[in-house]
Amino acid sequence: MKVGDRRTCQMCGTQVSADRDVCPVCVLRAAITEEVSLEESASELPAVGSISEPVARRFENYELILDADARPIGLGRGAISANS
Amino acid sequence: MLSAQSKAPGSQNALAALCGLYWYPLYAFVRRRGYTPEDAQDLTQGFFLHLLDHKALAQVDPLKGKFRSFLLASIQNYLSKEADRARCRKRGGKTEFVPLEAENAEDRYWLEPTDYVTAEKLFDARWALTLLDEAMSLLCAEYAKQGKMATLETLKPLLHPINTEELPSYEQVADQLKVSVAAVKMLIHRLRKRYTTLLRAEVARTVSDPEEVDEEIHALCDALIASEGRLA
Repeated sequence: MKVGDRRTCQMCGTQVSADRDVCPVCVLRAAITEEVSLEESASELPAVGSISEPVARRFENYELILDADARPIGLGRGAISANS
Repeated sequence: MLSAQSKAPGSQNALAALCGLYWYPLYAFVRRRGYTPEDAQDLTQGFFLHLLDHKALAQVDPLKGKFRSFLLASIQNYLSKEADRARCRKRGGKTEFVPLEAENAEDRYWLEPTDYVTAEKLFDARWALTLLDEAMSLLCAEYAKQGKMATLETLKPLLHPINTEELPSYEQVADQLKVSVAAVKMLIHRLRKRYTTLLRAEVARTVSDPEEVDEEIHALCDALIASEGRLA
């Protein structure tokens, strides 16, 4: 039996079969947060050019969690800082 | 799933339609349990016939449960009972409930990972991928019907890309499709939204309560992460 090559999704960090050009985990996660309003402007989508740039989202034990539109999700805000 | 569990006319057709789409995860599960290709085909087919038994369907609470979980639990029980019976006995008089594409099934199964992915994990992850592929097939059919397959093929890499460094720029896509950059953004937005809608509708067909859709999608995510991309 063969085990296919794998790639790491740059958006969610999941190991994905190299045969797939779409990340199945990102697709499913987007489906959970599907409540994107129809009125949302397309201009709010991340520009392809901007997401082409590699972005570091892992910082040792921390990971920046993004929503379906690749925006950081704020977990909470304190008196002197905001946690993302 | 309610229609598939009903005893009303057409319920067998609804069940057959779902089983026809999702037979491969069951086949892979049986194979991973150590059965030969011939036995796995026989058992999978026999399992579908077993489902048609009103006693089997009557045990399912139509208001509770996911089709995926129901099938997994049911086939586990079915295999444990069948293991005590003569394997060479003809099941269901060779009636074919769901065409299994036997050769294709084995070709696919030989591509499955051999390492630690258990039969249960393999079933769940393969189920998730089958569901995603079905939603994509429906999306392709819609674009094809509108004569927009070329547009879909151009935009698909931007849907939920694995490697963003390989993506074309909006300007390149706009040139290729001969539309404005703003139009490209709108097309991508619509594509994502439509795919999501089709995916959620497909998941909804496999759960009893629409409110279970999110929970089921979470479970499918977990299954894919657990398989660590070992499934093609």
